[in-house]
Amino acid sequence: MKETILTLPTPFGEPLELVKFHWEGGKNGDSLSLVSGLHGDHLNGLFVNQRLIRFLDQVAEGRNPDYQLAGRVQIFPVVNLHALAAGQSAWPFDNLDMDLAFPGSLGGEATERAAGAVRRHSSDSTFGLLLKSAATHYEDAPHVQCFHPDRWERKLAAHLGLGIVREIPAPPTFRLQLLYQWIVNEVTGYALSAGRPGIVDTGMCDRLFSGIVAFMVKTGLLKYSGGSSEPKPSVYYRTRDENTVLSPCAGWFLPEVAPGACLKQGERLGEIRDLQSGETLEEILAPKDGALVTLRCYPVIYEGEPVATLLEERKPGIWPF
Amino acid sequence: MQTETIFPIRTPLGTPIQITRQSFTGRRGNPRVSFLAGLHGDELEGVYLCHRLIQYLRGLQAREPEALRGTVHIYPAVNPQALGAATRLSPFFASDMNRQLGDKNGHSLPAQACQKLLDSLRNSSDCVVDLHASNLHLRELAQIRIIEEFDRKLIPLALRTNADLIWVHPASGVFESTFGYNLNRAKIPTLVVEAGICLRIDDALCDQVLNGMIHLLHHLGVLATSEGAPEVKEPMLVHPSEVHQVQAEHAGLFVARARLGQMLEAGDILGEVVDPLRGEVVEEAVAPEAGLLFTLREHPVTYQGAALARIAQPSRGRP
Repeated sequence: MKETILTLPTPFGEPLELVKFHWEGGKNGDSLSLVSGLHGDHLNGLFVNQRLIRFLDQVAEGRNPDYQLAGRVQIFPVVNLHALAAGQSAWPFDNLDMDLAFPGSLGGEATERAAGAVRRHSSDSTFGLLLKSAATHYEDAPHVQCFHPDRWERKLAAHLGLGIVREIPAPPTFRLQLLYQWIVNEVTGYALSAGRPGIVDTGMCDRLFSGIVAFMVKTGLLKYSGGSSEPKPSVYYRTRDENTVLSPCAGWFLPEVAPGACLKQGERLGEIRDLQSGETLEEILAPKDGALVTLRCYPVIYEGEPVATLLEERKPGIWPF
Repeated sequence: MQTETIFPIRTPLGTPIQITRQSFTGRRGNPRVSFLAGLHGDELEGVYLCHRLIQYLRGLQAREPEALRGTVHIYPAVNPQALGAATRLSPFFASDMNRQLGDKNGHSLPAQACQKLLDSLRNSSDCVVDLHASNLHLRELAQIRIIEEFDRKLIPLALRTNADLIWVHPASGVFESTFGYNLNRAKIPTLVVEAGICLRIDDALCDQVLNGMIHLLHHLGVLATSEGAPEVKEPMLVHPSEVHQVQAEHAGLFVARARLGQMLEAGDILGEVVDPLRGEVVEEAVAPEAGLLFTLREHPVTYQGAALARIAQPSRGRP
């Protein structure tokens, strides 16, 4: 069912409507909120959520007999309506990063009201999944991000099937983010990051879609009659396992690997060339063995900017164990 | 005057971008005050104020060098790329320079630059003044904003700044990553000045704040000129319950009818919101309380919930 949870009047036309889609079935008291579109150019999450909306409609209408709804699921496909309409990460009118607008407010400016509405509607959920892309200029391998998870939360994250579960350091603005708001409201929350802004990568979206369906089955929100299967093994990385590779000089960064690759120490990530002469200035090497979770995709780079983030595996790390 | 580069950044074109510090050095052991401007690239009043302050101190060094007792460091343009583009955020990095600081600062270039700048300020200042203008939407009287936990230390300094208003407000998450908050937490008293509006320079407003800064330098023992400190006004001191914000109930174009700095009576008209498509006045915004109009909306395009005005009640606010 589609429901308008906030109407935002505009000065020059029809109002914009913030909607959620929700389904309920069975007696499982648990619930899941799926949120995408906090940034207007994080399109993979929106693409996955529209697939999930169609899938859950089919399940609710009995057109997918392998699945049955057993709990409550709600999807907020586009939160930053103005930014999406503008084709930009943030709405140019206020330039506010919406993931720095939480907890939001009922009576504030448009971006804060939208943030407040989503927080209010999702903070009593059992689980929360925030779908996003990498930061501007970067591409992420599909992975799960969590903050100070306990053992149960770590194991549950593996059922999302993305292979990488990463504990993220709290940025200085963490208290202004949706994930933090979920955590303080005792929602088991994860962010799923995949791809780059402005691009839909259908292969990555397939993985996210399958992982989220498996997560709903594991948490009992969906019943699946096709038998159980073990999740793809995941590796859990702590914040201390992160290695950020900085560019030693400015110019072109030309990558030779792709996000998700497992690299050996000394392996080439790419090289930096002079912007105008094309002369090779530096080769960029992996400082340690690790999984390449983030790679720069915008080729023009300043001296000292991050090129890549590698996650170093420490034993024992393979799940489930 | 000594010029120093705090953080050089090599751009892809090969030209460096630098955060520059200008220093006027007095006797070792005497107080050191730093001025910081241009964290947001569209806030030009602070940059201009730094220019005026540098000009004043250069003149003072020439005509009365012994008047400089302590040290003044001025960081006039700390976000040069954003200032060059006149945008709040650096156009390449799209990062807010005043939202980068905390326990774990990340590895982005703006985060690295902010950490260097913070280290520089911490190591060379006994007091910092962080100069801001408002955003594109609101125009502000000259004011000092103080987070409640720092008010005891900061109010006595703020009283010396020639501001119209001192606004003590509660802490919230949005401040925790700012320079002002982090410097105050590091026990370096830091005044955050908010004055005017972005992308404009109001010369009279800059005169007012400049006099306040010179007075503050005298008060702190950094300056002792033969002419003495300029006179400063007594600012109104307000706490959260004494500030009334008026927000738009409708979307439309806001046209102000009141004047910034006006003493209002309850019920006075602040302005109106009009529906440009239907030729209707959809809202008449009025003052909910009597008081000083210290914030007024400048940007006509208005959405529901947008701030139109802030009013400070003077009756309980005098220090």
